Amino acid sequence: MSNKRGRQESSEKQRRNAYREKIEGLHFSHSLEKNVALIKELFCDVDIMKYRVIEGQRSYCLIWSEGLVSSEQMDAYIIKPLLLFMPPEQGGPILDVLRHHVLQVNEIKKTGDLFEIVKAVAYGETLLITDGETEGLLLDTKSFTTRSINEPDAEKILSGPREGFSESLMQNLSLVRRKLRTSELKLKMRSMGQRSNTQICVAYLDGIVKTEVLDELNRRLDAIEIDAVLDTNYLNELIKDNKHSLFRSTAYTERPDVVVSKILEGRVAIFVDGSPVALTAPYLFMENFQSSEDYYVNYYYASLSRLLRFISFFVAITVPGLFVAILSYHQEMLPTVLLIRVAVDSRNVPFPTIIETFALLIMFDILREAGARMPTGVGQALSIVGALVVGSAAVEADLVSANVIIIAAASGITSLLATRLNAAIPIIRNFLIILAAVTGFYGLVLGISVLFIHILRLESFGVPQIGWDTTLRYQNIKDTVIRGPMWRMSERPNGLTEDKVRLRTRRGGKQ
Amino acid sequence: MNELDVVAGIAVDRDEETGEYKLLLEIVDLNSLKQEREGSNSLYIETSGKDIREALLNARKRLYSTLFFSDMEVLVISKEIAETEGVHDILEFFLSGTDVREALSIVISGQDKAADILQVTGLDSKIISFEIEEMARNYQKMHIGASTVDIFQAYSALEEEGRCLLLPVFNTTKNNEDTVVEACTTAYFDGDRLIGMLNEDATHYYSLLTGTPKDIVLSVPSPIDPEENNSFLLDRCKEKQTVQFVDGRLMVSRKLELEVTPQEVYYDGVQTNEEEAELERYLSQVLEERLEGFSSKMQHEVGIDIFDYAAQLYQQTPETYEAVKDRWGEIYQNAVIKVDVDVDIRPNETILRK
Repeated sequence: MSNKRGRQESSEKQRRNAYREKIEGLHFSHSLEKNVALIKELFCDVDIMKYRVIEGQRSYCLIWSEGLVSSEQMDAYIIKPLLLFMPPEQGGPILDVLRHHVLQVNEIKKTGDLFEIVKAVAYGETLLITDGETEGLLLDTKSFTTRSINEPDAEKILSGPREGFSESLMQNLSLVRRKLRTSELKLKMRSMGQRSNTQICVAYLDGIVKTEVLDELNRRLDAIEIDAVLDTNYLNELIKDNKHSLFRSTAYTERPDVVVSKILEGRVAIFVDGSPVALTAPYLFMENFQSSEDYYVNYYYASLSRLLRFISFFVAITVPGLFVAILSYHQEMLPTVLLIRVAVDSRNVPFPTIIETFALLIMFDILREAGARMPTGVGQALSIVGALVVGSAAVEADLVSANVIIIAAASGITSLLATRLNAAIPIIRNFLIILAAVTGFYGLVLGISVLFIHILRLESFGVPQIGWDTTLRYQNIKDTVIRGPMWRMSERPNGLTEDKVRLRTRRGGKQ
Repeated sequence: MNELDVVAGIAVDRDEETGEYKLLLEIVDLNSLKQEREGSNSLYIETSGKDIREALLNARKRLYSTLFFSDMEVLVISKEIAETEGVHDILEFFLSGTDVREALSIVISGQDKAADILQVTGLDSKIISFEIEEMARNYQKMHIGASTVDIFQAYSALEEEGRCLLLPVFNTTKNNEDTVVEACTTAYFDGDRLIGMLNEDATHYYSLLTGTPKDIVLSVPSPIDPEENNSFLLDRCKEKQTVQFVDGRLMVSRKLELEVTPQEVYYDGVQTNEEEAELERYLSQVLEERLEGFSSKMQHEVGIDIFDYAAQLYQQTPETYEAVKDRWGEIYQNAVIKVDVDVDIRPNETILRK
């Protein structure tokens, strides 16, 4: 069985590499016409490819993709110098002369590797080939239209830096680089995706990053063979520790300040060209409840906010199950007045509590999903119709009880506070509801125990996600359920780096 | 949830003709609550059987929903049953045979049948059991704090060494045109049998002697004109008690420090400190006489240790209690019980301290 699978994988790999091998088997000749014809064949049916032949004492051909290059740069610093250039009778290889003395382009590379040439031209570089040469010059003429730097919608804050990443890799790296003016910041580029040849950058701080983590990340990235990487989430799922876990192995953010703070804690950041989202690893479970704003406001307020997010997570996953368990099996746990209220409210409702709860939670998720996909105005109208009109009508028609609406709303609203767990919460919640409906508190407690055990066993690139070792120290919990004051956060998070101390002086203020 | 009949209270009587147990179950009428109907929100099921279990099974035959006892608030036992059969078996059945809460309140019906108590309309609540439960708890706090109305504590009082059970007694009475319930007095038990009831004054003395009174008004004859009464509101009561067994006699000393505020005083106020001290001495003396009289009556006439001296002796020196418990009645009869009262009158507009 494994041999068959191995053969299938091998054949698939061969098929995927066939294109590359085909190109690598081709070479430029000394004839400009043949070389141009070769490029045209490679870019057959690609109508945006432009070919400009410059005739003179020598013939040149410039090849580029329209829309990806800067016209001004092409006209002023490539075509004009070429038109004015009088090739010396003796002056060494012509391509070297052009590179060093004629073309006014920042980055020029001489190559005859057609695979590299295709990749570069497709990414906005211009190829210059001339008669009698079996190589060409790749000129960096990239000029993309990119989105401006805006505050990310998904990570809005009230105070603190408001810049966010865009789809341009270089622009994103510049935002990070600007905040870390040290040669210790390493930015290692690599290309991923056999078809997309997407630029990936792995960023870390030399001396702080754990080499084991870096090596493990590189190993996982090396192992990926995929035709295209269009977003960071492609990598997120491919390099995940526990493939079937509901919880992440990497953090994601669109904020440069967040990436920089994580790099400073010893993490590695991964950027993907074309995606405004950067990944960071290793990931600690408590990052699910952290926000960049926590560090830009008073630590009392930040701790309270974080505590609310933490509580909200548990409310979101447990309250519907608790409600179903109590109403189905453990009514005696309700105080008398509350029991009567609930019983009166449930009178004449034709469905069992589990059905009511499930139906409303699904309805909430549908409204949320629809609201998120609709244009802003329509989304708001949808929420009002869904929440007020439909909810109120359903209660009046005795289809659902008002208590279930309150429980569904409480769970739904609290789940919005822990945005990084928005994928896990509905699944855990429904799992606990089913257990509660089948076996009451026993099932609920069992489900919660399994969940805790799973969380305690989570790892990210070899680092336990819970972030604590056997000893409970203040430094291990200072930035978890609470956000400690800056002067008490003297160490980097446990397990992420060997260079633990980040704050050597206690306080600069009044002693 | 739709198939639950929430039982709010149960009244336990004996059928005079058949001799069977006759139960009246007050059930919360969820439909009338949902429709916000006027009047009572209760439904009643009357049932009978050779024992309580059979009576409850018979009640279930009349319903398609499940009787839900967990939120039952009150159990009313008729005076007749408490006197002739005792309450032990009834309490034990509800504690072990049903899923009631341990904080279920137990009350005794006075001159009425237990069922009559549950069938009046409440003044504060539309479900009379809930109102009786609240009244019973208030009565306990104000008068018999040393003995509580919770079923598990009542049962403990029956099972523990040297304890005496006290429970509030409820009667129906007229309020304008309506019939309402009121907590009228306190029943005391010998073992699990009801043997007597304390009147209002005796209940006050009991609460004073056990140091748990609240909002009590003490009424004493005026030192100037014994025909007129002076009344004082008890603000604070500090009680200290020692129980010792010396030379074969039980020696009990109770010291009460009371702080009272004058309410109605039959003369033109106390003008000097000496006059105030004199009034305090007088008040202390009157209360001492009354409390010793009450204590002596319970000791010599009734012969019931309602102050749980036996339990206190058992807690302090179990071996002594074990040695004398077989002749406890005699020991209690011969006990020397002294009460020392020290009253402090807090000045108000009636008494102006200089």
